[in-house]
Amino acid sequence: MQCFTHPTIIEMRGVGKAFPAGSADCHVLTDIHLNVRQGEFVSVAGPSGCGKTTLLSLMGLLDVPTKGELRFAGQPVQHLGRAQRAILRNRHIGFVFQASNLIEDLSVAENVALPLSFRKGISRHESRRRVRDALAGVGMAHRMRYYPSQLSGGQKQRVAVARALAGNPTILLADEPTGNLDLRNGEAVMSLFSRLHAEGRTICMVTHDERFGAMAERTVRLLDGHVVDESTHQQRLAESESGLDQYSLGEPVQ
Amino acid sequence: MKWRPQASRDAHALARWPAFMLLASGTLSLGVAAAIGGVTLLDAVLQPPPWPNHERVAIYGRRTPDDPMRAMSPQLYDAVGQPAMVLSRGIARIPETVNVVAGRHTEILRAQRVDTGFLHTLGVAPSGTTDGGMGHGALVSEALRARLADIAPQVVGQTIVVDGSNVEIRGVLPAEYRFFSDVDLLLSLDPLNGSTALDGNMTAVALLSSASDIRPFSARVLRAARDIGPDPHGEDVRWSGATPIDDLVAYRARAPLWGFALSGVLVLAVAGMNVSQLISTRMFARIDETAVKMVFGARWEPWRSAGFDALAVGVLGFAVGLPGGTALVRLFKPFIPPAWLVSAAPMAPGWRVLSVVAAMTFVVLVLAAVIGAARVMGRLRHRERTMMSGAPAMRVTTGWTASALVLAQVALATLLVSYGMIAVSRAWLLAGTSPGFDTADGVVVELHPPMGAYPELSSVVRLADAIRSTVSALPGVEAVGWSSDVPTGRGFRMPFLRRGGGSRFIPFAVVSPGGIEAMGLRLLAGRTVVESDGSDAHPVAMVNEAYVRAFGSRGIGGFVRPAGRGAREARIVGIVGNTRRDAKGAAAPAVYVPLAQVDPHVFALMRQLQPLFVAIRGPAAATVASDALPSIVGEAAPSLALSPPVPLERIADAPLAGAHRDVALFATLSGVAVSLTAAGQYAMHSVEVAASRYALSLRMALGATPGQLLAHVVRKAFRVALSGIVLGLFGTCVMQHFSLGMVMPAGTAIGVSMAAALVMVFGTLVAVAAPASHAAALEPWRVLRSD
Ligand SMILES: Nc1ncnc2c1ncn2[C@@H]1O[C@H](COP(=O)(O)OP(=O)(O)OP(=O)(O)O)[C@@H](O)[C@H]1O
Ligand SMILES: [Mg+2]
Repeated sequence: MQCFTHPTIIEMRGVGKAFPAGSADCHVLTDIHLNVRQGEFVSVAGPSGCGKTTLLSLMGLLDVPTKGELRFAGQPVQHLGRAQRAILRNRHIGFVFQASNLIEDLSVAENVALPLSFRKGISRHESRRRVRDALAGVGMAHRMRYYPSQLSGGQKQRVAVARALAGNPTILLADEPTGNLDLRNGEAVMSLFSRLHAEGRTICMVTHDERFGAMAERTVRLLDGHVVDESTHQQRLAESESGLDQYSLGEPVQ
Repeated sequence: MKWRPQASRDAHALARWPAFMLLASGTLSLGVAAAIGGVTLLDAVLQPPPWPNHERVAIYGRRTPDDPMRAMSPQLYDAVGQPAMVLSRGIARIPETVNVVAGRHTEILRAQRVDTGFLHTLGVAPSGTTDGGMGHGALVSEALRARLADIAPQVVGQTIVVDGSNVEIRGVLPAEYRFFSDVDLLLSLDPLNGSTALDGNMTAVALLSSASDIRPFSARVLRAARDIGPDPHGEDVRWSGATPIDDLVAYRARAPLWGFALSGVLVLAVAGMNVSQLISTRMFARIDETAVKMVFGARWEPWRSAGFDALAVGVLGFAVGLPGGTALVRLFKPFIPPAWLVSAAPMAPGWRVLSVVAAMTFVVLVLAAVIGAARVMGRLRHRERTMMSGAPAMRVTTGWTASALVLAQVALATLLVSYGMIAVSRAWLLAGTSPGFDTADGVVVELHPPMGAYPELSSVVRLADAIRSTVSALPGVEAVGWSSDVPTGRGFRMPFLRRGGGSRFIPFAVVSPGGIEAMGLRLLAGRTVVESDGSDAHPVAMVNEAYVRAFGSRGIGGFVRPAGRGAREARIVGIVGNTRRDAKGAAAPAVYVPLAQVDPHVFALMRQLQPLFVAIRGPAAATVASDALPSIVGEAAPSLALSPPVPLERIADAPLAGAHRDVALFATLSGVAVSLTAAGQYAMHSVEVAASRYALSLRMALGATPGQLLAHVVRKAFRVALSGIVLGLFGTCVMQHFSLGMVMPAGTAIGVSMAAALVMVFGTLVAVAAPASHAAALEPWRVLRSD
């Protein structure tokens, strides 16, 4: 498996995104400068409708910016075609969505194997091994043959994380991965993310929830289409006098 | 209720979906047309017989084991007499060819001679007669009346010349009148005098006092037949008896046409499935709108919207399907053997057919709307459920109903296409066989020297000689001659003795000198008929290759032996090549005898059954036949009618007509089936793509390239289609194994199957192209905005 050694995985220079809306365009992102380096855990925060999901879709090569420069592992990607972006996504990006987006007619194992099935040169055996490892990594190996309708919301989200990891991506992108979960399940997913980060994975996560956002190394705040604030964990710790960090990992708060 | 603004809103909404309306009503109209076509044909033969007394009428006489129709001879007719249980009886000759002169118009027509009791026994009352009978005059068919009315409006009372004698038209037959074959006029049958050999093949009808008298009457006919003994042809008397006339109608008509009507209705049902799929497509595409409306209290929204769509599609589809069905009836009518038709009334979808098809269409559309609405309701309920349970998962498979419908459609279409391919391969093979004679620069003209003006064989020979010598002297004419049949004809058959014993009926023709050459038959050995083969000369004959083989003949120098009592044998002086006579391209043995030497009794029979032909060959043949021949014949024989000249090319293709019609029929049927199936597949896969938009964009987000997504949808389509194709081909094999329908020509099985499969694969590709490219064009970011 090819592995990117470039220190900066995502590099945004003056990136903007506008959607055609009626006669005038709707400029959702105006001037984004942002780097996500290897091994970082970045969270993106901001009010609803500020463009977090849009930003993530650009980072994940699901969409292309309407202006500015976007580099993925040093390679400019804004002019790539749909097929080339698909191949890059498949190789290097793991997605976890708010809705776990499992396909109901496929078993847990088949859902996890989905990204691998789009990749050429992966043997059946290899694919099965990776699926097993990924599911074991999220504690879902015992549910391989289950169907999504037989899982709880939190279990589904863990399967979705396994799916994102099965292809051994360069970066994990998550859009409100805890949005549909209750606190307890949300925390379970977050502790999973922390562990993954500790193992050296690069993660970029959009979240509304300040408490979960605070678990990231770095938080990027969006407002009106641009980054208004970037703070690191250390900075936040120094600033904190309030109870933002009062809960600890893994311990449910009632 | 404010349904009026609602309806106009619906209509506007529909107008924004022109493709839906076009496809749905187009698909339905094909089904409606097929159903109208099938049901009309069925209805046409299920008409009550055009003989008011039919329930108590029996046809009696001899029959052969494989033919339910009975033949009567004058002796047997007399011997049976009129027992007490018979209220009235009548007899008719086989229809014959006659020359009719009306005003300045001369035509060759079909006439049937019937005695005075015949129509009375059937209960048929002609119109326009003063006494209900025809006396010594003629009754004309409604079709001929219409034609004659163009010449002189008052038809009844007009005098026409039939084969040289004046006959007064005494009345007009009812429009639906038909006695097993179409004739233009009925002539009176002179009191039975046993004059011609034709009299052995008459048809006798008896009106029984009650239908239950049939058994004793049949027994009486059998007794009478036994008393007379075998007829000159040595036919078995064991099969003599009486048959209710209704049985003869039912025997020939019903089974195949029920099947045909059923196929038509099936096509309508298949079309209905498509409409259902299309309605679902449209509703799935508007499912969010529907969900919102339902939240705001429009509980019946899916049903109402499906119902409105079905209604609109139904009205449009029926309006387009009606003329389509009428056209289909016109296309299919030639396939109905005339013997099946009961009534002569023109075949058209009547109110009965239309109301039946309208009712079926209604049922099909109600089902289509219910299925469509139920599917959308199911999807909405599913959405509600999963919404509650937090993280919605995506359902992507189409319901098994939709897949099963498409599979059945594909299988049915494959079956029909296979039969279409069988028809094509048969026509192809047949077209590849040589007609067996030279068709270039040759024409034939039909004529019929009437018995009255030319009673003796010698007078016909003289007429033939006169016309021949005049025509052959014309520039551009290489050969001219007479024949009782064209090279491909299946007209007259005679029994000939085989060498090993037994006899066989084979085509038999008389030819004048020049006839063989003019028709372009290939002389393989010996000589053709010449002037010196006169009535006093040694009897000679020509045969074809197939005769030599089938009859174990010695060839030149051998003899042909007619099976009839006292028939003269003739020495074979020439052998000609086989001609393509039937739709299988098989060569039948055939015998040709000089016109001057034919047995006069046989000739009398032949000339009443069928016309004679003048064949002309040479660069000027066509112009001579159309310009010079009428005046030459007019001078030699004033009241003789001539048919328009027919080129030999057309004669050569006549045996292909059946094969060509088969191709046309199956091309139509399988064309309809393939396009309906393609529409069904299209509808199913666009529903599927529309319904699984999010799952598809998820795949794309996870790294599926547009090409992979395209392949994904195509693969899914082919999983269903290939199963259907295999099923259809299997069905074809089973049907072939039991010899149902057309039989595949040997060695074409693989080609036919491959071709049929290819057509279906192509149809599937066309059908799935649009949904697959829609899937490939989906934007992966959608998955982030799924709900
Ligand atoms: N395809 C699109 N066409 C037009 N406008 C869009 C499109 N996608 C997003 N937008 C607009 O872009 C803006 C930002 O949307 P986005 O989903 O990125 O917000 P968000 O920050 O993720 O909000 P939330 O926290 O509610 O998820 C919104 O105003 C939205 O209407
Ligand atoms: Mg969002």
